[in-house]
Amino acid sequence: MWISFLPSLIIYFRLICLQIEGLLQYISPIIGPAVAVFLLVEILAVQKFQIGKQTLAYGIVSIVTYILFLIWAQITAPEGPKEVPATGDIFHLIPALEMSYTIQIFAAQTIIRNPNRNDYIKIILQTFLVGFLTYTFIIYGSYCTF
Amino acid sequence: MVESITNIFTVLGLVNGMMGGTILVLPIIGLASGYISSLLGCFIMGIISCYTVYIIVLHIGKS
Repeated sequence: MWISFLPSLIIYFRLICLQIEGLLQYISPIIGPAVAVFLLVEILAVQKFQIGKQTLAYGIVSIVTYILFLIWAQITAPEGPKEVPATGDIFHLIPALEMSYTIQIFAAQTIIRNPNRNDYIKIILQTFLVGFLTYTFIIYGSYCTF
Repeated sequence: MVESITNIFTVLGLVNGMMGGTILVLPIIGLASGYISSLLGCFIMGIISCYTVYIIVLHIGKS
């Protein structure tokens, strides 16, 4: 089971490094090792203080913050004509969405903690409804911003 | 003993796990995909993923 997480770990590690490079506006060879050391220290701290659940729960804060950032980008967008085509290249969007919607690997572990077994289907439908609305908002978040 | 969670926190937990690093690239990819294609793609991929999780949940019910 844990081996299946390795490709995701590598992809997300690379993504963290790319985001830092984007923020710093230059590529540095020390970003990768620095991120690795930081993550190692963070893992040890989470293990020592037993704050794994709390750390994961703070992920919802980053999602809300990101949505607020998109709203800010819309409000402060420069004036001028902006056009988005009705259709275009979807061959990058579909794999990204496939990854975005993936909850199969942890859905069972999370949902069995809920004792209301009759509500499981409703919970899944609500989860995907929230996911669909959020992703649609995020995708449309860049429209008319530049 | 495993701590039980309510329906709303189950949904929030699943949504929290669902939203990953891809949210950073979706706006840019969506810009190139067009507004109708993006909406359709989002809907269709959501249905497919939802159905696969639905099958997993059915198996949980039987176990």
